Amino acid sequence: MCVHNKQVLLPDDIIETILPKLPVKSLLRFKAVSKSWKSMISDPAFVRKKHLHQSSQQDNHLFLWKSKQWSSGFSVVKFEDGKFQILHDLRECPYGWDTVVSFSAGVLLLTEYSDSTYVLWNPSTRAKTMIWFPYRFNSHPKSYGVCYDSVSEDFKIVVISSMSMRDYAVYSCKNKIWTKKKKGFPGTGRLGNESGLYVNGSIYWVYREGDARKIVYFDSGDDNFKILDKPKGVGENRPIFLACLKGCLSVYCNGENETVVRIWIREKNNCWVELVTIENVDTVIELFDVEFVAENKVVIRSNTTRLMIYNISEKRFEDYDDKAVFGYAMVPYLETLFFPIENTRPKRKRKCLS
Amino acid sequence: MAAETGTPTTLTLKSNDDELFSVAESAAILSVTIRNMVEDGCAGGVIPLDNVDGKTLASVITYMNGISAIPADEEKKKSYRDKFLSDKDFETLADMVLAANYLNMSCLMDAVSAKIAQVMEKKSVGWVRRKFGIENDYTPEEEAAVKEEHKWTFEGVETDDDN
Repeated sequence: MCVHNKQVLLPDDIIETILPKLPVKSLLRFKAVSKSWKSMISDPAFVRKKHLHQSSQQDNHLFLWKSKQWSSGFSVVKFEDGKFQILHDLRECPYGWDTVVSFSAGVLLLTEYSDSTYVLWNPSTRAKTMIWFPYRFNSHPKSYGVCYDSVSEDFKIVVISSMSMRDYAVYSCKNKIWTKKKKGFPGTGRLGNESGLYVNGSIYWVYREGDARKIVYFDSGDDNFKILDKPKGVGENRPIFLACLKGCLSVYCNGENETVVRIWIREKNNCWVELVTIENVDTVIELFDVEFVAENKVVIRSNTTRLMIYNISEKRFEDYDDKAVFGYAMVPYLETLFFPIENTRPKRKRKCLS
Repeated sequence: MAAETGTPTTLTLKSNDDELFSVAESAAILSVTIRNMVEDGCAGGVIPLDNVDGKTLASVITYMNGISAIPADEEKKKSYRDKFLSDKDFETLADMVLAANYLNMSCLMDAVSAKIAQVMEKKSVGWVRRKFGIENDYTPEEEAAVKEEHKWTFEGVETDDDN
């Protein structure tokens, strides 16, 4: 029997309002609806719109966790109502590589710690591309960073020798070219962390020069490293650590003793503001990884695999015993169609015979 | 027009199928289109809304009254919107998104388009073509190639048994 089916035709501008609200998986499927839907979903302006929509969903605390169950692979997990919940597993990581060395704008840089190859991977679209590193740096491991520069609309990979910051190389995904920088940074120190932290267009590292600790960042505008001021009152030699909290760069270090951890965030007006002072900490700061802030709670990974949740308003640690879901590396997961390099699958060229 | 002070002003709205609705001005001006008419002094008599049918307008007015009765509490407003849209089918939602667009009501527009996206999420390509009235302009070979490119996105799709 044919039920009367009233059809409402929606104009394109309304369809373009609806589509960014769909998950990436549905969008990729709906490329098969028609040619015009395919070109709409593939359009860079739409990719940006979807990206902005997703980035604005601040209460979506989604992460990729390296899964314990699979020898290689990740789980997509969500933090909600004070708990982690596995949404789905991603068993097929590209080429079986699952060592994330950096991430930005929903795109991960993976390596197998060979000296010459990296993979860029968007886990939500499963787009991937392999990149060859053409130089020999006489150090292993290196430090890495990736960043999306919204001004030049370029995605860059930075690889730094861990022996000295003077040698580093930058890959521009837009121009598909590596550039080696010599004497790019005047200091004699080295970076304290392998993975640079991407926040709002720059990549940050802790830089050690003798006993002094500084914050350096990679400025994608001119491909140079620069020093950033620390919060006032943090001693020159005090070990500091970086995190991205509430979308801002964040620094933390011990207070007057090892049981106190102070956390600052750098607000949009470039001022450091103290977020919280955590007391009764029973872990040394080197093993105290501040991961994110959600629902007025600081989520901390301690000793690599233990989770701790600190309630800011109640000034206490909450009991957290849901260890079943817990994996190892933890990377923010952003549903995006964005990929810095266009599909490089070679197109079959027809021989042109005249 | 309400002349006495203290009496809430009431507007009369007319749908494109000539149904008349009374609604408090304070609720109706959630629509920027209506608010502009009121500010321009064009709202004295009956306000004709040529792009909205009676069934949809009744629903929009229910929403206007419901949401404006809630004090400034974003959480409560969100749960009202969720409940208001929970039992609406695709055709009703499509009518409402057109009405919200015409009436320039951004909060309703956002909520309805998010709800439509939620309804579409697990649907098949065929369902979308039918509901949106889109003609498949791919050749069978092209369609197969597009589907092959993102094969994994066809896992877990609902089967089409809707009307």
